[in-house]
Amino acid sequence: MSLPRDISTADALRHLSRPDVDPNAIDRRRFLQLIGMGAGAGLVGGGASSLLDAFAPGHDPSAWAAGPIGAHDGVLVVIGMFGGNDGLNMVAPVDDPNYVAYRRGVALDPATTLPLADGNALHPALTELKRWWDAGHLAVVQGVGYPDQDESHFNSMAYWMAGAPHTIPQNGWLGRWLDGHLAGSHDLYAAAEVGSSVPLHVIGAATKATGVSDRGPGWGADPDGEGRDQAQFAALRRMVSGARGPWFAAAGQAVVDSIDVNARLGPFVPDEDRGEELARKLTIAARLINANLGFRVLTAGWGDFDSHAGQPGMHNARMGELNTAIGQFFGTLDPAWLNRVTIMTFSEFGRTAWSNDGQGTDHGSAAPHFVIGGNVRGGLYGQRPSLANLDRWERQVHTVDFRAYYASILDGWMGGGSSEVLGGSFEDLRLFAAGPGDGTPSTPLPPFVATSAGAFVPLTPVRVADTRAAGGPLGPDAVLTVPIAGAHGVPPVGATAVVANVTAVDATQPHFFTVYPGGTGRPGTSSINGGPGRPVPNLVVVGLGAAGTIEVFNSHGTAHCLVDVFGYFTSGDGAGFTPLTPARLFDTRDGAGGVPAGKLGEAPIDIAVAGQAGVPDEATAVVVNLTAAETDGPGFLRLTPTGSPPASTSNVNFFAGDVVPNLAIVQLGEGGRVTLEGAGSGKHAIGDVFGYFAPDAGGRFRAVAPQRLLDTRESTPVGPGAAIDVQVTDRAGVPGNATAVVLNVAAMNVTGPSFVTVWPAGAAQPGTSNLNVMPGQTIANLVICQLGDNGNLSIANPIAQCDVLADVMGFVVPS
Amino acid sequence: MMPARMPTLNETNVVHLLRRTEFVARPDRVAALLGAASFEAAVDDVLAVPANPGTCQFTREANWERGQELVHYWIDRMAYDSPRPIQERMALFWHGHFVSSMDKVGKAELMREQIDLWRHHGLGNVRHLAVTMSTQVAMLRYLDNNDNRRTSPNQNFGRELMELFLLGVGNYTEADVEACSAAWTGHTDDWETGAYEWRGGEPGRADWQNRNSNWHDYSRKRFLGQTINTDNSFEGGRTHGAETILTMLGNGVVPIGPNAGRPSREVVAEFLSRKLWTFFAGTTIPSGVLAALRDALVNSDFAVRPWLRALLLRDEFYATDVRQGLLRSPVEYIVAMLVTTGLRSPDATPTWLMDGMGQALLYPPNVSGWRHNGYYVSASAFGDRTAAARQMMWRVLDRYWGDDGDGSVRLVGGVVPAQDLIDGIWQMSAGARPAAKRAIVDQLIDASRIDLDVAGSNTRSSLYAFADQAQPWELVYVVGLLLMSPEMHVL
Repeated sequence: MSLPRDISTADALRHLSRPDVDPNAIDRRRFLQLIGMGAGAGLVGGGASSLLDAFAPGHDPSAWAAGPIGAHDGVLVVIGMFGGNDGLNMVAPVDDPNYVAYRRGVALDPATTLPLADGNALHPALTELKRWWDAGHLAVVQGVGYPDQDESHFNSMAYWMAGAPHTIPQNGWLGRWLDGHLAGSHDLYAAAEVGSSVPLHVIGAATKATGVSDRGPGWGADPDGEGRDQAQFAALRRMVSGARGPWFAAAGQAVVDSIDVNARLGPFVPDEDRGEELARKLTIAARLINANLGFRVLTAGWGDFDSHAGQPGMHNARMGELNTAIGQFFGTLDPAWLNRVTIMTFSEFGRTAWSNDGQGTDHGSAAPHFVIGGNVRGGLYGQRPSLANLDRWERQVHTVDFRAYYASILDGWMGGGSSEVLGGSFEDLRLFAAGPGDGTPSTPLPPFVATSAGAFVPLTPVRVADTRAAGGPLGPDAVLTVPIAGAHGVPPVGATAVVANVTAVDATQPHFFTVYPGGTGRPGTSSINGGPGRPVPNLVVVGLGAAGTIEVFNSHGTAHCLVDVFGYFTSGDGAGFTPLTPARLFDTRDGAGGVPAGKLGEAPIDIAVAGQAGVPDEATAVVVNLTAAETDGPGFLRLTPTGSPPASTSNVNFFAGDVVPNLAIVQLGEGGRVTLEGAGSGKHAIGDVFGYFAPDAGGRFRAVAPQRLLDTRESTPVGPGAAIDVQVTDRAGVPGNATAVVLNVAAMNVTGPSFVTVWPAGAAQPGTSNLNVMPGQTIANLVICQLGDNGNLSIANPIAQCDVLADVMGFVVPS
Repeated sequence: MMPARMPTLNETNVVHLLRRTEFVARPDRVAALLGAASFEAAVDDVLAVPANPGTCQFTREANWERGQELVHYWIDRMAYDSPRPIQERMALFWHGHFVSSMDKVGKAELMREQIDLWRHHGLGNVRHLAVTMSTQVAMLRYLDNNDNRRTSPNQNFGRELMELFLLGVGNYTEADVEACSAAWTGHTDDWETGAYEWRGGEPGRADWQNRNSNWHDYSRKRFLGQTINTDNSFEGGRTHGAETILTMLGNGVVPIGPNAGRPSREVVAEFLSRKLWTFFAGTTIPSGVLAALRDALVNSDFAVRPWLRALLLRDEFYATDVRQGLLRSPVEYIVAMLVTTGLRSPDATPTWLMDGMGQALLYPPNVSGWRHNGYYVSASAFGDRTAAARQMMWRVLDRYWGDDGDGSVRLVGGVVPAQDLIDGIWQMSAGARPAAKRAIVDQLIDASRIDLDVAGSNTRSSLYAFADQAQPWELVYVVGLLLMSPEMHVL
């Protein structure tokens, strides 16, 4: 039996969807019948003279009975990466020595990558994908390609889109699936490309996907509900009946289609700016899925990935966009759809294993691709192509035919029919743990949601974790959970974030700690950048997870971890924060601030803070950047409230000849003073104040999931004459009314001994420093800084050049 | 083979000739060509382009604004300022063939230099165009030929020169790609100034040790069956790249594929002829025409004018399927709307919509350039066409509703005054209104000069139906509906 060509979607769906009795079996049988019809419907003639000209003029308006789709129909979201994505830097084989050796100027620093399994690691920007991996729902299909790789963008993309290598394609693999799904009718709401032109892979022999604009609703939507333009629409509809050749008809119909699509989809296309191109497109895709209009296939693509030169900045940007877009997609998607939606990626080829002299790579061959979704069975699939055994053109040899990749999607998720669509039998990689709509939707750990605005309660410093005393060092990828709420003077309820100094000790190799709210997805940021030979502390201000804990992740090697708590933020009563323009509070080099001039020995000194450098008398705690300089030998500095019992904490650790800062938030003790102690031999100490806490004044703090705000490795380093202004408000979760921001700032790629200063934009550059940097080091420090003109910060290194990374940890808003 | 029949010199054919060569059939041009002595004379008139079509003078500082100035200048040339718009249309052809994009080139001056090559010499010789564009900094940058070194060849340009620019895919081996890429090593540019630089170096001299000046591969290569790069002097090295073009257009032989053993110049000529036909006709090229155009190009030693002339004189070019065979590309649609409304490009072209329509000048989508017809047809691309048409309509209606307007609607073919549009109708009896409203529709159609009186069009009757139920003040929307009509979208 075969169905009539002009069957409506609703009728087709009734045939296709029988969820009551073994839906997949029925779907498949019906599907095969429909496929046969679609293919037999023949190509549409008339003017199709080049590769992507396949066009189906007109359609039957009665076939527009859109949605909803069946409860066991899978939805596929296809992301095209145009220009040839460098798969070797998306999923890097970091355990292969050839990886770094071949890719001079291009290889990722393995220490920065996000480990998966078997020596594979994600690009550092792909933190969302890492969360999906950790949750067990990211499949990485390795080595996807096809025989006799064609090195032309155009040909190779055409082969991929067609689902058939080395043929001149007439239509695409999903288009042929669509032919079968729609039985040859022209439903505008079964498949859509979010973008400006409909690509070959969703063009079938008899039908093609609808293009949905990603730039706001167009004419046809009826925002005022008065139907004012209906008479004009009617006139344009009448014009279509004219007959003066195929393009006359096609153009008239396309005008009408645009009106209809705009009317139907306008409500789902946001008018506001939704960020970067792919993020904007996937947000629209998620909204279209939520609306359940009948869409089974949504595609979107972007570029450019053709990184022949200057690859690092370009590819890092693309990976960041991919990550943001995936996050935004799942953030927009109604969770009820999680077990019915799968995302897949493709690109026309990977790139060469060897880099060229222009920090670029050339057209390659096989590459890994991602399949993401609540019912995806996470893991590595296929075989990673060897870097040692390249083909005669020094390209990687594919291990998974892209038709097997497609077949796995079609048979595992779209109801079957791969051999008809692909013209042959290909291996099913078994990428799915359950069919569409089956199983419990399962997603990665939730990202941390910003805390409610909190007031600050300072504490006498207390060490709350020391792996040297208990638990042993943290190994690679190890996570230390540190209970905060309900201990150490922090109340069991009400605490939203903690101020702690975290120190990495006895590290066996260069590594970083990421400190983040307990029980949430680990962000792609770092808190402490350490290495062998020296303890490295850094202050963190981090939100507490649901269980009142924070977690410390270690990236590489082993290292001990110390956590000293200096206070917490609470939704209850406490002190508000008032930022100050950075100013010097004291300096033992010249006796500024009333301290004794001369190097500090072992004897503690008291430093007046209240009433100094803009800090008022009623202040209860102060934010001070404490720097040790001209150090004669190893030691550390400790700040405590004057009059409080001796503490076992530390703020700054140093060796001879160091200049080392660390931010401190310290309670003011007797007389509004703090006590500075120094262990070890002589050293100078310098304090710069950045703000204070006082009851009934200032703003309240909100912790956010750490997010990267700035990475000059993707733009221009900071250096002499190259101070930069960074927009902070309305980015990375910081609202427009924020008055100050808490950032973890790291410096790297330093060309000479120098320092980095952060200050409110528009204010005069102060004589203070936040980071003291040396060539060969990566150094981080927490920065709490008032926001200047237009919510901007200025960042400068007046002496040498360096790259600066900044991660937002939280912000202060008026109470 | 039968000698090709000459097209008849009649209005249908002349209008078709002008639409395809001059974007629109302007009444004065129709009259002029109908008065020509023969069809050949009419075609020669079309091809009588000015020797110097001028160049865009930048007045702005910012690069982006300069790019926009260039786009508006060029569109105005197409719509108004060129006495023979085939010159600009042929430039558009080459812009979509030897592709560079401002995205990657980064400097409006460099794009202007390349566009001016197409504008000034687009009817000249393919060899000259190919050789010249290859070392223009726009192309050096766009296909990474500015970073193509002996020790680390970048094949991007060498490959596309054969695959997309001249020979077509499947007519060369990977070894040919390597030889071609090697021949092109050593050309580069200064990123700051945009100046061309030759860093070929010279083997044996001191600077051959300098990594920054020894980029050229002086070794002889086999390329399409010929030995190239035989002159290994310093100056000779600089011409090795051009030698690959001379070989493809000269005595090269296709090494593999269905064309194996054929002279590469014939294969080049066929490849380009297919593309030229598609651009002007929109249909699949008839085999007889393909052979004729190939021969015209080879016999004229790759001169463009006789080749295009041969195409425009083919009877097949005037057949119904060709006359109905082409959708206006977005640029062609914008040009037609400007002509219809009498608006100049800087005042009226919504350049921000053109990428969504599928064709933004200076920004081809990829190295294979724009395609045709169905490539531009989708609901979303046409959504941007209607948005552009409505932009144009609002500009026209500025004069109608605007504070300094005189209440009339002006289009290329005349003015429809306000008293006719609204006042007159209000004063009529209800019985007289329908006919008056239809008369206004007729006036607006006449003023637009869009030809709706061809069998098969329902556009006029659709506009009548609209007018019948429209309020008098809504009649001006006919301007927008005309700009969106199917007639406006076909070439």
